[in-house]
Amino acid sequence: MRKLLLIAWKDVALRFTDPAVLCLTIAAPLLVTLLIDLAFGDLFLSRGIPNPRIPVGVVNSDQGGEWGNFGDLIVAALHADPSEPAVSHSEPFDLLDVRRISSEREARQLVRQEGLVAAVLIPPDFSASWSTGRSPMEIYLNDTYDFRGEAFACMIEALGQRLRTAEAAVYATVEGLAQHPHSRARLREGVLDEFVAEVAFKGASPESNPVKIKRLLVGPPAPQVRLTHYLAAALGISFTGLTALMGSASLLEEEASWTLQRMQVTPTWPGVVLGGKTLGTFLNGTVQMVAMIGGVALWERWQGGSPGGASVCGLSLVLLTGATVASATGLGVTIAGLANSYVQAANYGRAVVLLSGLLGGIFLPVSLLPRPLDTASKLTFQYWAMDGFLKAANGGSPASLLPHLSILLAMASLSFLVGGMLLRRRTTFL
Amino acid sequence: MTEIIRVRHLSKQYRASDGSLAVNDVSLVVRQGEILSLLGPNGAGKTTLIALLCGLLRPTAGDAFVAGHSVSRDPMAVKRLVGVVPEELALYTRLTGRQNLRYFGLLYGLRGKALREAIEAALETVGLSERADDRVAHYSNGMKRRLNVAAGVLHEPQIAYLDEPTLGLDPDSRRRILNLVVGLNQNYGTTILYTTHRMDEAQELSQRVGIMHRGRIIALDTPEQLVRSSSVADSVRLHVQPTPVSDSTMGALRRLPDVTQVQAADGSLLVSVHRAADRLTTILEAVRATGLTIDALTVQRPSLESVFLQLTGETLEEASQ
Repeated sequence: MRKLLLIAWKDVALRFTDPAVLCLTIAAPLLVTLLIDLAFGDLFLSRGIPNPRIPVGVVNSDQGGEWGNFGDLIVAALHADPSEPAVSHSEPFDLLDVRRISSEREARQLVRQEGLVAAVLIPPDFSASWSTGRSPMEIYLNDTYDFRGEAFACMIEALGQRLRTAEAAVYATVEGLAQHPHSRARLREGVLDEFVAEVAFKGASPESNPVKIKRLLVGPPAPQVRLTHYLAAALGISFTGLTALMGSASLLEEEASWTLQRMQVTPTWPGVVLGGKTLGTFLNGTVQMVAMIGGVALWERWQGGSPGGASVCGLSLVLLTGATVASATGLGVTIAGLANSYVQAANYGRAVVLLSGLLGGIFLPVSLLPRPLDTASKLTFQYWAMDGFLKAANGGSPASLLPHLSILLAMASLSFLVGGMLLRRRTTFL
Repeated sequence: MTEIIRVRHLSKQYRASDGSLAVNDVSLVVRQGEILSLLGPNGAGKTTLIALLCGLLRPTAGDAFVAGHSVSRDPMAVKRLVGVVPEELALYTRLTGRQNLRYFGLLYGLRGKALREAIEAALETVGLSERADDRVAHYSNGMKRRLNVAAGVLHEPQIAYLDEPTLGLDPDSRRRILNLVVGLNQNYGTTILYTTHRMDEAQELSQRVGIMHRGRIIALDTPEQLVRSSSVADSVRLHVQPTPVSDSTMGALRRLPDVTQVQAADGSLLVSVHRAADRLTTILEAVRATGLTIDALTVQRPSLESVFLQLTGETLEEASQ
């Protein structure tokens, strides 16, 4: 254990006795964040970070009626493809990101959890009882009065209105038939009377509004993210990722300069050497992350607290820092195991940090990514780290961060296992 | 002397695909307290042999025993007994000389007062006490080499492997290191396995010299015995007047016993002769009898270089390329 700590401490000393490293990887990102805070301190990003399209859900259970299936008509209208010539360019539905949901329960839950801005529920007898309004279509909105949800409700109401207008045209036609001599003769013969009587009855019905809006109570409005917190987390995670990757790659650098072999010819177990190097990398990453997050926290305290007002749980930050650095270090060990030289490992590492950072929401919010990529982003440690830190910045408790911590630690364990095996195979003496 | 290292049919192949062996069926015995030099060009397998003997590499075939411990089955026991000075400058240049020694001393298991004393003694021996707290990055190449040696033998090991420790050094730094090696051997009884491609070092330091070529040890004996057992003749160079030397004089010299070759060049005669010490009087008398005056003469014994040339058919320099 003593030798393991010695090897780790040597790596920390080597890194932090280099003024250039201190300036570029700790001071510079912190300074940039604080300067941006000074300039745009009160700027907030919404938690769901602007999605250019409005996410809505549709549950269509309509069985149809004698006049057709209005439910299908509505769904088709919502899915309107703006590139089709039949669809007018003024059609607002192309702004929607429509998801078909299988059950009402799921739809309501998604609206509550803010996965959807709104959900349309079309009942089974919607078409059958269209004119009576006995089974209206329902729109669920949460009570945050998100303008996107309100806009969607207007669209649906307009759609309903258009259907009503079409219905009125039918009534007018029937009335016209009743006034026509030939039709009147047919009516007298008793051929059309039932049908016309029914239409006339339905047309006179006062309760025929086919759209009802219901609001779901979801508690207080979703917390917002300070730009400063976003930057601090993004820069902290990026630089820590780089440090962890380069630190792991330093194993190959030490192999090239023979200091690794020199350690190996001392009576020190190979696992202790590898463990010491990994611990050193972990400590270096931790120092860097703590400097970034701690620096911003101290700055905010000095300024009289965060403008957001949320009280940050220190334990959440500590746990997240540990899990983030562990997963970054694990990834670094895997990359070092795949590379043949320090230069190769460093190149692989930089590419991986950039690409997975882009995918994981470091450079721009994940919600701006197209659908397959926003799902793929969940495979990166940056995604879970960013999401966790932003949650923690808004007062997230350690319990609420449990999914983030578990996933980060699982990623770390898996990559340590794979990386350790690769390294053992690559360096014959480890 | 009792043996401390026994190497039995040791082989090492890095890649099975290329078929070549870096160390090829080497057998060797090193006696306790001796300095044994392995002489050979770059790529002869010296470094690989040392890496095998300190447990850094696992042998492909055969085994070696260091103080009775198998290097393949019990490398940790071997590592407790040996100190290794690699050919590369295996030092942390951002740390000071003292910090480097402290780090490797701790890894060798030294603690507290013993560690402090060992560091001071090592710094003193290699002449770096005054620069001990400077970063290694600011050292000259010679200073780095000396520190490299100190870091390998700081813990006064029973056996020390020194791999080309004087590579690229100025004469002063080289002399310090050679003195350090001799001091280790004489003061602490350390058994030393020393690799070099310099004949003079091998000849000066070693009780025995092994000549390595293409992974094999092709000769192993005392330097004197290696030379004696080779069939290389001594060289007697005579500066004579008048020149050019006549054919009859050359013929007379060739007919002398033990003379193998006579050449004339640049006002001198070069006579290759076995047992030059015994035949020198006869040669001088034969030259004077032809009427020539001898201004000067030099006698050169065959060296390890000429032994290497004879054994391998190429010079060390050629073999290194």
